[in-house]
Amino acid sequence: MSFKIIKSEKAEQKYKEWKVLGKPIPCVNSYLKVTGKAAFTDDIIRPNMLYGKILRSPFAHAKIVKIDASEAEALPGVSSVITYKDVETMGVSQKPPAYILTDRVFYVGDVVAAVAAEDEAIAEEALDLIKVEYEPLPFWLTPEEASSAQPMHPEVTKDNIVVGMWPPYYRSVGDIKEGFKGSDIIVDVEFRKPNIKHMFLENFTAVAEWRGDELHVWSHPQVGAVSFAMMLASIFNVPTNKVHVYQCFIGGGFGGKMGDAPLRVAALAAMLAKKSGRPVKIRTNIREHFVEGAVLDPGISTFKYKIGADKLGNLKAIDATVWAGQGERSINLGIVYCGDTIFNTYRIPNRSFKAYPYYTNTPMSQALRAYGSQAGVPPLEEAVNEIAEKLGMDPVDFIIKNGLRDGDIVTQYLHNDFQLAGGSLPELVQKAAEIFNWKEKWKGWSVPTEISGSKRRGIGLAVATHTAWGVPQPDRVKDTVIIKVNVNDGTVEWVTDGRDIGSGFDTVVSQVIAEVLGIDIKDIIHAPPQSVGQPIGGWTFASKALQSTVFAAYNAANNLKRNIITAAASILNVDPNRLVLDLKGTRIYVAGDPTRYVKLSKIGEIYGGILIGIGSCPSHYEGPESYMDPVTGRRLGMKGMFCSFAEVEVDIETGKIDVIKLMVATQPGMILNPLMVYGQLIGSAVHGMGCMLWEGIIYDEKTGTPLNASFIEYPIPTALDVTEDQFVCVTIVDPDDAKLTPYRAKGIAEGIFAAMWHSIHMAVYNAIGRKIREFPLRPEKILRALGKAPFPQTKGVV
Amino acid sequence: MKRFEHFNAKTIDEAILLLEKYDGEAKVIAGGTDLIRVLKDDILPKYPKAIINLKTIANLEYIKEENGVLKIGSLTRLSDVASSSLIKTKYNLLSEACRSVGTPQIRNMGTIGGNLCQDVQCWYYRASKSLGKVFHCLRKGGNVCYAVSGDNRFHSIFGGKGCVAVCPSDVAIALTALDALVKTKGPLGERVFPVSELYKDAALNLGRSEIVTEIQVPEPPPEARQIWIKFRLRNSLDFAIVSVAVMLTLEEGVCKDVRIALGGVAPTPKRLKEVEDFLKGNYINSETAEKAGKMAVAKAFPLSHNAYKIPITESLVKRVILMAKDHRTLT
Amino acid sequence: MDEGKNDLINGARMRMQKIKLTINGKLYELILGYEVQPWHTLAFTLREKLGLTGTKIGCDRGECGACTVLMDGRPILSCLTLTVECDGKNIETIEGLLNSKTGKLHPIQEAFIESGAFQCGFCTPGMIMSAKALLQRNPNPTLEEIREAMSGNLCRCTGYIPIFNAIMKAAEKMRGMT
Repeated sequence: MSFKIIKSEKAEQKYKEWKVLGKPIPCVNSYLKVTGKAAFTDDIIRPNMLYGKILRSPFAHAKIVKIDASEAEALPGVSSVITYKDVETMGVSQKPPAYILTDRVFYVGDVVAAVAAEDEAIAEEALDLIKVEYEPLPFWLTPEEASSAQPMHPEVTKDNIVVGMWPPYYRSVGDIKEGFKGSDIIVDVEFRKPNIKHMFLENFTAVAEWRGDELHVWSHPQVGAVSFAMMLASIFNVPTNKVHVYQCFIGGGFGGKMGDAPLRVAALAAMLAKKSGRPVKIRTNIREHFVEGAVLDPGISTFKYKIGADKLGNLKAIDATVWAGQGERSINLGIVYCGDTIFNTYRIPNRSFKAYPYYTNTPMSQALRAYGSQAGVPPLEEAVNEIAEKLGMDPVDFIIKNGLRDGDIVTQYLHNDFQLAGGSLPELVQKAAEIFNWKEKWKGWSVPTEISGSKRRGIGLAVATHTAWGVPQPDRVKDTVIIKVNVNDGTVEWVTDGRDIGSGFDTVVSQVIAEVLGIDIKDIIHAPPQSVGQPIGGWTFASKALQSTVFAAYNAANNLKRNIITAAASILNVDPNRLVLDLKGTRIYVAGDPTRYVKLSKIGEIYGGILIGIGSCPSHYEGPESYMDPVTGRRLGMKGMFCSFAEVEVDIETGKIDVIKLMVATQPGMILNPLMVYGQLIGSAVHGMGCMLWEGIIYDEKTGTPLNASFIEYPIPTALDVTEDQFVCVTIVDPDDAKLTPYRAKGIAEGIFAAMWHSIHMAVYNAIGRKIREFPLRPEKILRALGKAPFPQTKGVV
Repeated sequence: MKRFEHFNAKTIDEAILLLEKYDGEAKVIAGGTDLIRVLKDDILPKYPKAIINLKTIANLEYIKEENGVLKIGSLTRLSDVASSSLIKTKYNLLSEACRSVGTPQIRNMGTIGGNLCQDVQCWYYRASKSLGKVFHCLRKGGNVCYAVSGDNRFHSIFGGKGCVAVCPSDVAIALTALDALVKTKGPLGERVFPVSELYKDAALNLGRSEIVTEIQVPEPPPEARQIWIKFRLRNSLDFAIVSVAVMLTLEEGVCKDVRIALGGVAPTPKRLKEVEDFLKGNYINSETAEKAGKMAVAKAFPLSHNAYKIPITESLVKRVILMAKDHRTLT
Repeated sequence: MDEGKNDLINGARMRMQKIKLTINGKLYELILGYEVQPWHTLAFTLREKLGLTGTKIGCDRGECGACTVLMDGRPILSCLTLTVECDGKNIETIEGLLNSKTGKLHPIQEAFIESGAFQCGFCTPGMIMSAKALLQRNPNPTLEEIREAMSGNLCRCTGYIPIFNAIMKAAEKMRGMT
């Protein structure tokens, strides 16, 4: 088994106390998923339903001068056609830079019109009949071009700098001038990254139906159903309680279903449904997903990092700048996390991070298995590696010397700094290096560990820290969970408006509730999330579920239990502490004297026939006093700690790279469900291997068209590209590494993805002795770096 | 996918008749793994009015040996060709090439005739209507090849008349090295010709109503060594960046006969005649193999983005020859 | 696209032609031109016309394998298959895997659950169908054979390794049953 769990004594003790937590419990909706009964959006078939198709823009940037849909409307079988002209008549409100339909298109594949017809084929034929006259406008894909271009969204900004929810433009700590003055070695590193794509299997789909003034929408948003309903309500100017969003199972998200694409497809379906007076389904294909769906935030980027250290290898200063092409809109949170890596990976006293996020003519940028850390780590590690190499230091020693550790101050972008409570990179890397046998394998910088014919082997490692308990949003979405107990049989239902995207969120939350209420997980269900009548907050993103949703569920379950016990205590007239809640037996009895009990139904009567518990998650800024360090008086917080070790083999004649070994390691605190943790680690590792070796959007630079819009030319790993002995997942389990959550656990899936990219990158460098400061590391890049093929003239999009 | 008429042909003649009747506005379908993609992406300059199913024609799915010639019916599925013990034993090159096509599902659907007749993979030509942008390229009656001045990393390093897409068929490369023949039937009757003549300028060299009915492979000498290498990013699903097929017969270390064909580098399967002439009568060793690799790419003239295929081709040709010599297979 | 315009050609087309499909052991007769159109794919027919939505449409271009069903025992891509060309074929879909008498899960389904072989679950029905075809023809597969058999089914969540483990486990369970 390639999953190693190394437990501390404290961890062993905790595992003994738990009945449901810590066990490899399969996904709670397993039955539905293996039988094909889990209802994804496309599985919704409404009576009298029409099929919608979307007409997309051939231009990366253009104004629609004329649009004539009359021929399309006249085609027998066509029910309705919508263009931007319908927006006004239908009262659809839109806010730049996020349009449903407008007279401008911002990227190749942007939506121009949509058709609803009796048959998909007829709808497609109708698209051909829509006559559109465009006035092409200048377009740009790179931040370099954006900086000197005309404003894309003059309504909101004149300089093409993205107006995001998180303005990340500048942040500094200490004095970098002083820092560089005190440095003996200073290096400059320039690094580039292409646009990369989520490539989940379920493409954007929506079914919409109007029942009078009620809008019913089936969709797969990664935001919660309630939040999605609020967005639709504001688009269609209808009351939120008239928008019924049924959040179906989500066929992969990785952040790509948080963006506007699911919302836009749902809004288009709703517009068509309104005009047709019938339900409409829109299911897009992989090509449409490719042009419409989000890319990683930061997008096409250039990183320039300057870093200084003294002779002993102590880092002194970093001056980091990122220019990013963020697409036609972005919230910029990825850039924030990109900056986060600068501040919170190594102990560097003097730090500066500047970001220039530009509007570019590609779709919006969003999280991709993580917000921007995965993009921020490789350039930082490249810079740090070069320092270590110049000093002749082993990278493991370098991290042990400089890595972030327990008690250090974590600097955040928009919120207060906090003191790290648990977790330590030096400790993690030391342990992981032993398991990987690093010291024995390491032969020095740019020295292959093995040479055989044209094959060169090399090893590498990288570290990352990442948010492990949700986005720091004191004033924003807070999770709420409601738990209901059925008094007749003691079964339990819980709701929040979020849907598991495969990470095991509903399974772990169910485990937490089972643990508190002392029941079997089989007796709990997560009610299908829908907007009407359910609480807000269960967004599945930013590694937050383990903190926010689990915390909310923990509070809800404890509130519920307390209410039941209190009522029972007053009936039985005993000390509440002596009572045992036996939901399965539908009663509450006195410990040691089961004949003294009160039926659950009796308690139900007291509470008006229903037993519910409500709980929400405190923001860690408003959290309890235990969030303060008693000694320093500082507010405490957590970060995930991650490292990755890689061994690769490069064929210097063909440029092909084989990953021989990839070992990822983390300190997750306690593992609440090893099956889920292993799934996240191995899934991230394989996904990341694809990103580093092969993936990346290839554009036709003349037209801005993405050329590799398929699973054939956007090469995500296949079953024949992975073997079990390639991958090792290591977890160092200790409750003290996650002190601030109820069950001492923190999120791991995103950070591991951030760490692993660069480990392959460094290993390739050590194998072939050439620095390739970009990815993916396709054969052409390797051969060019080795001087065996010339570099093409490009704008540097990939 | 837009609408079309559909016919299940009972005989080849019926299919030809239908093709004639539709006068260029009908397409034949076998496995459909390429055609349905083409129709869904709506890339043809003229969407066909009719689709003619060949799978309903009896007796076009067979693998047999007759008088020292392997005969494969054009409707034989790739997975059946790949797993045939006869082909594995005597024509392993073909078996391996078929096994490297697409995915298991595609091999279960796709036929050997369909693989030979598939459309090119150029991403400018294939840009789907679903993307928004369609490139009206040379193949569609336009007057520009967008790949020449665009991103051509997967295109020809040996030029092309106009279109620089490469021959997408793995089977064609293997069959070229096996010196195979193709049998077709059209309105003018049947003809049999070398597989290499099936292609011209990145297109099929067939009459408009001509259908491939059989593949004929002469039996290689029992001592011949056959090797197939398909270089690609992933081990499944990908088309070849470069592929090499070799058939080598040695006599006491000296090359008695050799045929080498390259895929992924030219608009048609590229037979390396000069390299073959050099090797014949020479000892096969690392020196001659290396020279062969160099000769293979001596006349290459890459486009802006695909020069990296040259060192890959050079290395693979060398390796294939040495592997054949040592009786090694690819691991 | 005039209906019936070409009816005369060699009798290739007849009015009220029926497409007969055996799906999970049950015979379906679909009237061409009414329940099935020539351009309808098998995936579309199964899902939208017959309500067998267990088979998923992913890429809709034959690239991802989510739509995999078995036709005469072999895994094929239902998004690239025209329903009109399936007349007389025997189709198996994920809906046919449950034991029809006991309602119990198939050993492959059990093994997928126990091994954590899915996350989002969208590729799962196709994966399971490919696995079923493999274990039918090869009850004792090696890891290599499993990887090969699954190489036409993409998964972005799991990294495949839990899927390999599940199929190994399923093979064991199924061998134990006979």
